[in-house]
Amino acid sequence: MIVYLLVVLLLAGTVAVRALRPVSPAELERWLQAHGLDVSAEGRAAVARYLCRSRRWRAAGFLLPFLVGSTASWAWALFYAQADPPEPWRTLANPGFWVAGYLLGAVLAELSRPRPFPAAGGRSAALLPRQPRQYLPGWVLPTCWALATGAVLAALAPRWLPVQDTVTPDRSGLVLTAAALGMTVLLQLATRAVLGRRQPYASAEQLAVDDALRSACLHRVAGAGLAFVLLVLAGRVWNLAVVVDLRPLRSALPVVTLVCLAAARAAFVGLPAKRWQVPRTPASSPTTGAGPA
Amino acid sequence: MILHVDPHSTVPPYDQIRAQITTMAATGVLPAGARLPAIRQLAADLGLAAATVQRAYRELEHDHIVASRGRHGTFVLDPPTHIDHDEQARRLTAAAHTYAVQARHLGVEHGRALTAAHDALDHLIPAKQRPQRQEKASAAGKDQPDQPTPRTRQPTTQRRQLTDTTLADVPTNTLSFPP
Repeated sequence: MIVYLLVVLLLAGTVAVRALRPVSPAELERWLQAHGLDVSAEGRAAVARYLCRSRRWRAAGFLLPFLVGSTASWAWALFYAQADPPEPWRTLANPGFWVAGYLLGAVLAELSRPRPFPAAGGRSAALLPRQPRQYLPGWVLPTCWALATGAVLAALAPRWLPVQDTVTPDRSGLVLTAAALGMTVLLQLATRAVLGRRQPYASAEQLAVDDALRSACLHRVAGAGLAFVLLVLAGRVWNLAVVVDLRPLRSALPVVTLVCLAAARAAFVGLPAKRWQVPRTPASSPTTGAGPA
Repeated sequence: MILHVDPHSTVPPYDQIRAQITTMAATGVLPAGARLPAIRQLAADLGLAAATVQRAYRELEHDHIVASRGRHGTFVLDPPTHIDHDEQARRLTAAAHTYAVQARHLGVEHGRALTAAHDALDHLIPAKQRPQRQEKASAAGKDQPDQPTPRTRQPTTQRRQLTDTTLADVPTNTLSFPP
């Protein structure tokens, strides 16, 4: 038990130390290149500040459920002599909720980012609509809905398929399935919230940096959201594989579970690292009498 | 495609938005079929109430410059191929009246106001057509060297400033008809 606690604390410490370190110039350069930005020193400083801040929020979002969830069973065993803690502490031990905390951290980092407001000479804005598909690959949100629906179907499948007699209702599984649907809704709302925040125009560079930061945030959020839903789906499919009484399904479903786990990892790591440039090209100079004087 | 609203201007913000989008559509900066931002988005970006932007969009729709397609958004329309002569005269008179009021409000003398109007009209001509007009003008000037220029030219910066003010601030057809 002590070893387990030490491992948890070591892992948490490593994540915290990594989150608190400053953004290196090489890291910043890679990020700027990935988003097709060539910005001034001021713009670079703003990006570095945001990356640092966002990383801390995400780490905090991950560490909170991770520490609570992984130490709850230990604490209950020590103080109450019970093997399992009650809800919601037990649910927090599921890695999916650590990912959800990470996602919330990313959203909060973006939503709490202060926006510059040009003080003198009035207010300006780019006359361009902000669409989710400009900031995020178009397949992400529909895929998330499809996967969440798949998790629901996998949870309901034992009612329709021939299963073993010893099957007992899995209540925490149903909670997780509902959480997958909730996560999809959250992803949709987070996308709307991030894109809906005001974007005053001060310069073309500032606009490009702001777009890139929003896009990077949405990629992180979408990666975490997809990973969460895939983890839930993997769990549902695995549970189905264990109880189902059809031979072809018993052999195929574990493979599906493994594919879901691999896809969850790919989404969590790969989507935020994807090179993405927001396809918006505002006029660099004011238009006929319409721009700032 | 940058929209600029001056909260200290005498022109209401919705009219500033309307005038600028009208200009952008007329000059081709906003091509036909271009989608405008959602009302909430533009209002948030400009720090205005949603009702202000909504009113600007409504006026633009009334002028057949944009069309709202429900939840699909608001789109710039093709410039009208034919406008009824009476309607054309009505709109032109209203726009001219508004411009005259604004020029008087700024304390601009008659000649300068006319120069600014000429310059603004010149500015609306697509770039590819401008050299031809200039060549024609210079050719006409060579043919009649002794005739005085009909308009007195202002210094460039002064003219530019006036033109900017004109296009950014002046609404075109919102005031009542002149008596």
